[in-house]
Amino acid sequence: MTLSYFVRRVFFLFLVVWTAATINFVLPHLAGRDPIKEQMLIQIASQGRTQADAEAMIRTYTRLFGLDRPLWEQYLTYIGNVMRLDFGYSINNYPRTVMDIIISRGRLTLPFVVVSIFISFTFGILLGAFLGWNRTPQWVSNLVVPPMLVLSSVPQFLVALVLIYFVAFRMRLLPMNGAYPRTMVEDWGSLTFWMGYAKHAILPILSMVLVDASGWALGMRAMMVTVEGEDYATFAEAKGLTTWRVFFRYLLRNALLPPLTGLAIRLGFIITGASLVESFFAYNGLGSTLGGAIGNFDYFLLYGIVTIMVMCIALATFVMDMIYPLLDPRISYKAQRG
Amino acid sequence: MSNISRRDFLRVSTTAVAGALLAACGAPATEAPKVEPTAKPAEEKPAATATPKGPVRPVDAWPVGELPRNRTLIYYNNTPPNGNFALWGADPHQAGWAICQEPAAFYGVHGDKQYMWLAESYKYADDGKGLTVVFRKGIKWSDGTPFTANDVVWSMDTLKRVDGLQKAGNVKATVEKAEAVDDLTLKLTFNQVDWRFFFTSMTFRFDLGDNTLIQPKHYWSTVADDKLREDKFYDPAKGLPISTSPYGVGVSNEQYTNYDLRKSWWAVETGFVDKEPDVWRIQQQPFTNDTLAAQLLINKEIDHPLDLRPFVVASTLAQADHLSTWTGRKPPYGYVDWWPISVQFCTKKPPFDNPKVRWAVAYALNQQAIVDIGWSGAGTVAMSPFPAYPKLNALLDQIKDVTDKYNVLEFNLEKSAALMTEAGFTKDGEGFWVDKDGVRPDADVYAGVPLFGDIAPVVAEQLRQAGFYSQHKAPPDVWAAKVDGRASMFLFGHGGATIDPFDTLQLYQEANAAPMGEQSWGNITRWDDPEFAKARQEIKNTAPDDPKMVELFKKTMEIWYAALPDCPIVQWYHRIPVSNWYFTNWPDETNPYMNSALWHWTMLQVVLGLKATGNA
Repeated sequence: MTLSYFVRRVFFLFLVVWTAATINFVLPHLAGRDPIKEQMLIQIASQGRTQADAEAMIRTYTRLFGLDRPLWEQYLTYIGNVMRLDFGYSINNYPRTVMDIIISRGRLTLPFVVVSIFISFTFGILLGAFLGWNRTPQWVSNLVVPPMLVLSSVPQFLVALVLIYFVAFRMRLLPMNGAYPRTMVEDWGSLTFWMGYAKHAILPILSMVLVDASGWALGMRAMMVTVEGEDYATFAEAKGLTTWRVFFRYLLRNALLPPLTGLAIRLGFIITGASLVESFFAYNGLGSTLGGAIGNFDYFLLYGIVTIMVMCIALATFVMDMIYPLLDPRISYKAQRG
Repeated sequence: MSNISRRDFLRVSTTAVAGALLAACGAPATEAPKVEPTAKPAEEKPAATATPKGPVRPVDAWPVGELPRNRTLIYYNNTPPNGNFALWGADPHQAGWAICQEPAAFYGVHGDKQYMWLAESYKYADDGKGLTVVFRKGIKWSDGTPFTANDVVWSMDTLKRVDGLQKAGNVKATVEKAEAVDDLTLKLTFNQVDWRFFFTSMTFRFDLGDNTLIQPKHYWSTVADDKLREDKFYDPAKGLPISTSPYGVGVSNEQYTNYDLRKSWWAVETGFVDKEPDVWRIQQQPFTNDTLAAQLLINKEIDHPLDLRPFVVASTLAQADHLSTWTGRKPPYGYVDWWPISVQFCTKKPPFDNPKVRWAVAYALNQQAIVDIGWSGAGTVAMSPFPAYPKLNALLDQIKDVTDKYNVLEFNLEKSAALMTEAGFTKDGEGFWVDKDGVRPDADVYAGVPLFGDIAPVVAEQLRQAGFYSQHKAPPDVWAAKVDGRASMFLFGHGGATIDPFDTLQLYQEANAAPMGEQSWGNITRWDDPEFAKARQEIKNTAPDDPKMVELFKKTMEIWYAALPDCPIVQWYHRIPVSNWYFTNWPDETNPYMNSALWHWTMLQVVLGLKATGNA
C-alpha cells in the first residue's frame, strides 16, 4: 500500500462525508417546512394549547435552535457540529441531545444487527458455495433453492410478523417484544442482562437471518458457478488436490470478493438497516427513531442519524478499499497504466 | 508504507473487530439496582373480587427493586421519557408522566364530576376579574417539604417571567398578579374577565389545556431562569422529580419507565384518601402497533394500550375473556373523546371559499354510512363541532331550531347538485363537477393514517358519488398540507370544549386566519366573521352557567352553521381494551369516574380507582 493511495482515499472519504452532510442539510430546508411551527400546530390541535402560548413557544424555540439565523450561518454551524459529532438538541425530545438519543437507542439495536449480519453472511456464503458446487447432488439444490428464493423475496418484517404470531404469541416460547426483560435495568456489564438481551434477540435475529442468508446464498451460488469454469479451478483438480482443498482454497475464496463488497455496504447500514424489524419487536432503536425524525421533521435528529449513517457507509467503503489487495493478490494499490 | 502480509492482516483484523464489538456493547449504563426477572405467570385462575393479602410492599429502598406483576400496572403508551422530565421545556403532552402531577382539581366529563384535589375550594371575584383558591392542609412534597400557596405563586410568576415555557399561555394572557394571602390561600388578580380560569388552568381534564403544573419552589428557585427549560428534573437517587403525587420515578430508560409508589403520600397521611393505591408500580412501555398491542393484551403482558381501531378491538375481545372496554364487550367499545371530526375546508381557496360549495359537500356526505362502513357501526355521527357531552348537549338542545334549520346530517344529493349548479359548476362527461373553464376543482380529502385510515376513503368515495373529483390523500407531511393551504379539504378534530363551547369557538379566531400564501396554523380553516368574533368575545366574558349563554351560543352557531367552515361527520372515540386480570374496577359507562386513557392528565384518578385481584 502506498502512502499517496492512502492519502487519496482519506481525502475521498472526507469529500464523501462532506457532500452527503451538505445534501443532508439542504434537502430538509428545500421542503419549506417549519418544524417548530408544525410541532405547535400539533399541540394546538391535540391539547387545546392557546394561540398566545404557541406564539411565545415558537419564538423561543426558533431562537433556541438557531432557526431564525440566515441559512448560511445555520450551515456553517451545522458543518462544525458534524465535525464534533455534536448535533445539539432534538426538537421533539428537547432537552435531550441528539447524540444522547443516538447512543442510548443505538446500543440496543447494534448488537443484534451485527450478530444477524455475520450469521447471515457466514451461513449464506457457505450454503451458497455448497449449492453452487458441481459435486453437490442435484436433489439438494432442488430441495433448498426454492424456499430460499421465496425467503429472499420476502421483507424481513413480514417474517418477523409470522415469527411473532406463531413462536411468541401462540406458543409463548420467546418474548414478543422489547430489547430485554422489563424487570431488568440496562446493564451491559451483567451476564444476566446479556442472557435476557440474547433471549429477546432470537426472534429479531431469526427474522433477519432467514431473509438475508437466502440472499447471500443465492448470490454466492451464482459466483461459484462462474469460478468453477476458471482455468485455475480446472488446474487445481487436475493437480489432484483434495476435494475440500479445491472447494475452500480455490473456489470459495475466489468467489468471495463480490459478497465481501456487499457485506461492507451492508455494514454501512448497520445503524438503520433493521428499522422495521426493530420496530415490530419494540426495540425503540435507531431505525424507528429515524422514521419518527422524518415524520416529525426533527431537523437535528435527522442530521445526526443520517450523518452517522453516511459516515458508517463511507468508512466501510474506505476499509474495503484498503483491504481488497490484502484479500486478493490480483488487486494492486498501484494505479493501472494504459 | 511497508507491506502487510495477508495472514497478519486477517489475524489482526479479526481480533480488532471482536474487540471493537465487545467494547461497543460493553458500556455499562446502570441507572438503578439490578433486579432479577419476575417468575413466569402460572396458569389462569378466576379473578378474585376483593383486594387480596399479598406480599408486603418494600418501602425502604428507593428506587424500588423487584415488585410482583400483580401489583404492576403495565401501560403500552408513547415512547417512555427516558429520564426527560423537563417540566418547563419538554412537551408534556401524553408523555406518560402525568402520574407525577397533582392539580388543584380533576374533572371527569362522562360522570360530570369535579374532584377537588390539592385545592379545597375556589371563588371568583364578583366581576370575574379575580379568583381565590384555598388549598388543603397537610399537603407535602415528596421530599417532605410542606406545600404552600407560595409554590403556586412561584409557578405562575415563573410562567409569566420566563418566555417560552410549556403551558404558559393562559397565565401570561390572564394573570396580572398572583399572591399568597397565607400558606393555604392563593389570590389571583386578572387583567380581563375570566370565568374559566380555574377550569382551564388549574383543573386536569383529559389531555387538554394550559394547566399550570404546580412546582416545588424550593427546588426550582435554585435553577437559573435560562436553565429552566434544560433541567431534566430526573435523578432517582435524589428523589427527583419532586412532586406531591404518590408516585415517583424509579427507573427511566428507552425500554420503559417505572413510576413507583412512594413510601408515604400526604393524602393518606391527612386522611383525605382512605388507603394507599393498590397499584405499586406503573410501567410505561413504548407502543409499537395495534396488532402487537392486541397480542400483548391477550397474553396478559400489558394491562392498557393506546386506543385501537374498532376492528382490532372486536377481534381482540373475541380472543380473551379477561378484557373489556368502556362499553363492556359491545360496540362502540369506547367513550366519546373531546375531538369530534369534521371535513374541514380551506375557506380562502376556491371553490371552498363559497359557502354554497361547502354545503354541497355537507349534503353529499352520509355520516351514518361513514360510521357503518368505516367503523363497522362502532361509533356515532356528529352534528356539531362539539363533543357529545352532557352540558354541551344540553346547550345544543336549546338551539334545536338552529340545528334543525342547518341540518348537516341531511344526506341529499339533489340539494348538493342544486347548490353546485348555483355556484356555477356543471358536470363533465364522466359526471364530475367542473368550473366554467372545464376544470375539476380539487376535492381531495387529506387525512393522516392510521387515525383516519378507516373513514377517510369512505368520505372520498361519497364525494365521488356526488360528482366531486375526490380521493383520500395521506402524504407524510399531511399536517403541513393543512396549514399551508395545499389541502382544500381535510379531516380534523376540534380542541377541546368540554363543559362550555368557548374552547371550540376560539379555534375560529380572525387574528389567526392567515391569507393564502401563508401558513395558517392557529385557525386551519382560515374562516373568520366579524359578527361571529363579536359574539364569541361576549361568550368569553360570560360565565358558563350564566342564563345569557344560551342566547349567545345560538347567535354564534347560527353564523357558524350558515358559513359552515367545516362539516361535522363523526364523534371521536377512545376505544381502549383493558385487562381485568391483575386489576379491576376500570372506569366504564356504568362507573364513569374518569375517562380511562392513562396517557391523559387524569391518569392518577384512574389508577386510584383500580383494585388488585391478586391473580398470579
